[in-house]
Amino acid sequence: MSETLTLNVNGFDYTYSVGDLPGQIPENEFLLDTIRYRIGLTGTKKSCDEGACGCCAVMIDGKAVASCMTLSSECEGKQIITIEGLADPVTGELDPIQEAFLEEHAFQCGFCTPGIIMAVKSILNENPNPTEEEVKEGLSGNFCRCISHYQVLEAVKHVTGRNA
Amino acid sequence: MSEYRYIGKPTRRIDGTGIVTGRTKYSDDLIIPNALYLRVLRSPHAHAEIVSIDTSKAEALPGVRSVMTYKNAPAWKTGMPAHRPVMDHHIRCVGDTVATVAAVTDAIAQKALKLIEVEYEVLTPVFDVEEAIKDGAPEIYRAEDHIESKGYVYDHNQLPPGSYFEGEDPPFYYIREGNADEELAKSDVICEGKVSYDNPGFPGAPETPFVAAQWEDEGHVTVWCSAQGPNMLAKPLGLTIGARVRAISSNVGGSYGNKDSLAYPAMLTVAAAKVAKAPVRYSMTKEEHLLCYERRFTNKFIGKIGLMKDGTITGIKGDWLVNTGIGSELSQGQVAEGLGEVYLPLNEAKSWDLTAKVICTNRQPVGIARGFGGQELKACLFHILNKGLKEIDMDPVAFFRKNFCKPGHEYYWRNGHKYSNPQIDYRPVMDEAAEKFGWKDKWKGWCVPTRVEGNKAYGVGFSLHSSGDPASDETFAYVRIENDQVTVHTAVPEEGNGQKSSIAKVVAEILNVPMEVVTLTASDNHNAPQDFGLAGSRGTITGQGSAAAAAFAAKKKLLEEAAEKMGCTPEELDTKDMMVFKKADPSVALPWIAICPIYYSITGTGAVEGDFGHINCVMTFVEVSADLETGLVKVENILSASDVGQVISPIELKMQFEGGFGSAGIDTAQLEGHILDPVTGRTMTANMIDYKWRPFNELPPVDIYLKESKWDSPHPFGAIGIGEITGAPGIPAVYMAIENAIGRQCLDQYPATPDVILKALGKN
Repeated sequence: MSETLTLNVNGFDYTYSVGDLPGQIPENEFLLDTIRYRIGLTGTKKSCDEGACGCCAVMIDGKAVASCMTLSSECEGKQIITIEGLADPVTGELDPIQEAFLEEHAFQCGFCTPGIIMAVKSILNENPNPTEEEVKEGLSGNFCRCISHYQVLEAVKHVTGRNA
Repeated sequence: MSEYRYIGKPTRRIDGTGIVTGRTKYSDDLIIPNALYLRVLRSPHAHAEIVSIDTSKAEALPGVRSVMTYKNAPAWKTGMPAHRPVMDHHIRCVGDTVATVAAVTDAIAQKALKLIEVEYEVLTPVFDVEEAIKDGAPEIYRAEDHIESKGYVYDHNQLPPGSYFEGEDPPFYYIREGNADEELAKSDVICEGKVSYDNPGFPGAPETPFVAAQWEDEGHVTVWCSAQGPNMLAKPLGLTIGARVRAISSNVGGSYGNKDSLAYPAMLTVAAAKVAKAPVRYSMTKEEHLLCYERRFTNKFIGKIGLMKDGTITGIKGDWLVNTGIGSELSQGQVAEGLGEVYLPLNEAKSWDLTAKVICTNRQPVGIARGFGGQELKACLFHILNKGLKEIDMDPVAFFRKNFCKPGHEYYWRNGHKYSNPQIDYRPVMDEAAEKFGWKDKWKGWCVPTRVEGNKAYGVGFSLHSSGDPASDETFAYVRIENDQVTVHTAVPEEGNGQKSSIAKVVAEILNVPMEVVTLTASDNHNAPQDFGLAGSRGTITGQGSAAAAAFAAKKKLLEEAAEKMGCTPEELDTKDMMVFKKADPSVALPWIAICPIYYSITGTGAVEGDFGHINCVMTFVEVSADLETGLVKVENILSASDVGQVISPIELKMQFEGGFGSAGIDTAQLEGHILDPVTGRTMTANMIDYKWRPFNELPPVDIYLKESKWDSPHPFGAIGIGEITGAPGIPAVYMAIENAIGRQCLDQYPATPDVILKALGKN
């Protein structure tokens, strides 16, 4: 009987057998790959795959982390939230951050957007009323090549109601 | 108040909810049943010959379905003209393809790569264009590769000139007008030199290139791709492989021109699917994307420019040496457009003798990127020009105001023919933008800082960029009205600029319906008529224009069919919110579903006849600071300006201007560029930790100045696109600003990193 790994993602438990056989989770598998290719939640994006760009950010116990640098085997017992888990699971109502990103056009190609939204969620979890400088510093690990940064900052202001 | 319901007003992106909830599917998110995973063994050497290759252990690994090497790969070649094979025993750059493995899982494919045994004979590489064209230089391609086009043969590492842009005409790779030597001799001032913009910039997007391929039968292959347009991939690939290609562009996670055609990875994946006799999917790693995917074009300009004291250009003479690495996807096409892009701003020059050479080296191949030849050439040529402008002490804004192509004047475009600028006068916006930037106050003269505060010296710069592409190439679209819904068939994909939303907006405006009832088909060349793709800022005029023409045609048919039912003429009718009504008495009305019931279609077809007569222009004013102790240069603020005709989507337009920082645009002046290990030939910055992008906490203020003169164009509301060119003018502008800040004209290569500035200041 092999060891199992149970991950709680967006409120659902997913249990896998651990090992190197097809269908098993190897001990060195990263959370990004588990989320995307096993669970099928493709909203979390793979880009640099080395923790530099922020596209793969998910929240673990309320804090954004780079899922491409986090081993799945270390996530048992933790609450993992992906971009698909932000909206209200019952009503489908979007998180105010998602609504603000829509209203302020805070994306272009949208590939880095899930990671940026998760990072904003994490920043606001820690400090609901950050200054613009704090937001910029907090997001400095999220790269956007289309340069949607200016509208992202507008979206954050939209959520916090803070203009300075 | 605007006369329009949607045009010129902010409207939410039609695909926005999918993006913010993670539901939007990009290529690597697609499930392609039974597709094998493709991985590529890449060369550690910049130049080598494969002496032996043993794939038996990889083939024996359970889960491996196929291994491809040069021995069993199809004998296809891509490039301009065909030169780059699927694989070869001759290895031409670090990261060149040595073998591929197709396996049932990605992990097995990666494991199998390590089991392939290769013995190389290492050859001497060449990385520099001036070295590469010398007698006896290492040969990137050889006589046996038979590279020729229109009577030109590959020689001394020079590829034949010309691309498909010229059709049957001769290649367009030089401008010769007047007698340059005689005119230059009359000059008050001649500035000359050599400037290099040859640290390859990585224009790449966050999403790595993706291709999946499935052969339907011997003559048909389906390709899923992260390409910027299905036809740009399907047409050249189809010719290369001798089959009909159905291409489906999913949502594209950023492209900036750089995923236009995915020519080599598409050929490789289609070949692997043929050899494996199974569908194959290939998602590049970020390291591959940076190391060996098709990069931005690099170049040197060696030459001279003559000026009279009043800013008259007597002549431009020189060699434009383009480094296309081991492959040219469309470098000669970029040369052709680049020539046009310097001819437009230097339009009044009395003579020209400018020749381009596209040269292969052992660096990574060159693809397509926004700016498309002109950005790269101007980074060099305009920088030499500054020396002359200093000598005649002429304000650069006044110089370009004098020399930029005026209404009625002619310019070359990509096929070597001349076109006339029918009406567009960019001088008013140049004047107004200069005033908004405060140019007259900030410009203190050449090599004079605007101000100095402690160790920080500030300087300003200006440049501009113009392209003949905004209305290029014939484009088609269909609009279907069914019941109370509208479907637009267009090959335009979504790659970030919101073009699909803008097309929906234009169609909703014409049919006077809520935007929610307008749906666009997926970008699939089997479901949509021809469109070259989103390139050269053409989506606004051609994508929106063709859909608008189709919407007008559908509306005409709708009103004709309604008129029969309502016993009147179509001219008496109009439509709003899916009701057709009599203009004279709107209470007499029929709902669309009564005219167009269930299982009934009313279809309008639309087309835009392409032309090169609508030039766009973006002007960039920039202020930089240079720390005279540390050498650190910062862009302090930017004002970008244009006359865009009618604004369609104001926020998306603003973001296109801001996007000029990205995709190896403005920031290649002082921040971005790959670093090559000159010994191994390996790009040392092939990861996102070492290759720097501008982060959130390093963004300067960007101001935008727009004029909305309504131009006569194929666009129904008189808009002209600018998205491709917003970064291009920033590079020479930043360099001009740096030299003004540090008080000397001494830069001759990019980017101006702190060590370059300190060297210029004599401090290291």
